[in-house]
Amino acid sequence: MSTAQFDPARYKAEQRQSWNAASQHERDRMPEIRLTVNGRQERLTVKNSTLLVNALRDQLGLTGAREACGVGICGACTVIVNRRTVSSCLSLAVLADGAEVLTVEGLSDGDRLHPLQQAFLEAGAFQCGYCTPGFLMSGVALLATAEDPSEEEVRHFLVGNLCRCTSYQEILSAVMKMKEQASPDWLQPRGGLSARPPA
Amino acid sequence: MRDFELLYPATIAEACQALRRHGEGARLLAGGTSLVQFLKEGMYVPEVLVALQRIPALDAVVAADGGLRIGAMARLTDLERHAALRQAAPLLRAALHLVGNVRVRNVATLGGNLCHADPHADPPTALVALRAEVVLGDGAQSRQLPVAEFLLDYYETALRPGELLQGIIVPRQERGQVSVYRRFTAVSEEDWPCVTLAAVGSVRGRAPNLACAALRLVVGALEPRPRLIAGIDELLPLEAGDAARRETLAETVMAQLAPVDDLLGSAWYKRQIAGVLAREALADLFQQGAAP
Repeated sequence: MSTAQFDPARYKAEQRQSWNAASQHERDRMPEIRLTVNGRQERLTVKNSTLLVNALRDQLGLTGAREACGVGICGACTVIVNRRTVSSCLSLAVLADGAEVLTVEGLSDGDRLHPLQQAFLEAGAFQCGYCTPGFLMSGVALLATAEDPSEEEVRHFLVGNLCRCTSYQEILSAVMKMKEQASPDWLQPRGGLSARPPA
Repeated sequence: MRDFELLYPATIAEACQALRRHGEGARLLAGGTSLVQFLKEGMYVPEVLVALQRIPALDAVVAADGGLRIGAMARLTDLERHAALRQAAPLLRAALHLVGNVRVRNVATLGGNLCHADPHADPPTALVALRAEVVLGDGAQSRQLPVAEFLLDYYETALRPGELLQGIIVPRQERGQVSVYRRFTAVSEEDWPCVTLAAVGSVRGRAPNLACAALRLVVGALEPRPRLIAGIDELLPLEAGDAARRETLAETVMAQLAPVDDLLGSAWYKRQIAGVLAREALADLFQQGAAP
């Protein structure tokens, strides 16, 4: 039995095609939004019903946030909008007009990992890695805004992120370890990757 | 999800006008955390969403006759951190802190939470215990209703066509009044609660001779609307050392509930849990009352 392998390039091409298939009339009626994603100005044409997670993934090629549970429980789609974590699978893209969005792709400076990413690596704070972008965004938001959070506060904050490989102890210790180093400018994009589908 | 038109009224009057114009085809959009789930599942298929984001000051929190008036669009995280709210209504603050998870609270609004009218929501239980009221307006006139009368049934409220919830008036918890909010999740911490319970009372005397008076107990998540437990006054003042009467209180709570079997537990189980929460809440009230 052969298993079809997921091909990111093909996925993007298909998304592109479905986008092009929308009639000109439909596209004329769609709102254009301007937002900053990982420090870069973007202009997107979206439907009113387009979810932020899909705009990020399909139009900007930023696939770190992924829709998993679809109801705001699992945290795999966590991104930071105007300095707050949100479930991008429950956010309408059109409401992000004018917003500053930070995704996991904006954490590293391109060459060096973000300190929290490095801490995750050193603590072995993942197994399959599917939940990792969400945990990183939650961890960054918590550490950048809370002053010296207790372990209980960190646990309470991370209750909305699920790791089905159960790396919770390592995730918790990686976040706790970075308490001293964290600063409010962790919410600023550091360059990083800004992947984009081919035009 | 089917696409929809999105309107951004600049005033409450414009929003109500849009609701009247589009009737059943329109829905209000506040934070959207619950609404978007219903849109995705096709439970609501609106033609028009009326977004409240651009109406100025609809998220303001101001002091109002002996309490606080919370704008319908105030987000839960902001309310959790609000110093005046923390002081005036610690019970509400405790309930807000447990809603969903931080991502939900960062976006969800108190008005949206009430209008969605999900029986499992945490804030309504606390708001009923605090005798909070909602302010409903149609752009020309406004009226006030106790939260207990605003919530009617699963996802049903007393809002009339063309009306929206503008704010919530929360009376100040008096000095010496103690309160506790408890929830029990049967599956995992982030799940919907199986039972919620809010208690407000005043505790007199010195430990160990404490007595609880003016107790108000509300149980949520078990029925379509929060249940204010009746017949408690006959048990008051309730002395901390009166174990038999404390047990009568727990039984009074359990006897009035009509839970249903579902994935969060059987009716029998939920009733037992409500009894446990009532006993724990009472112990907590006495403990707070004993603190200097």
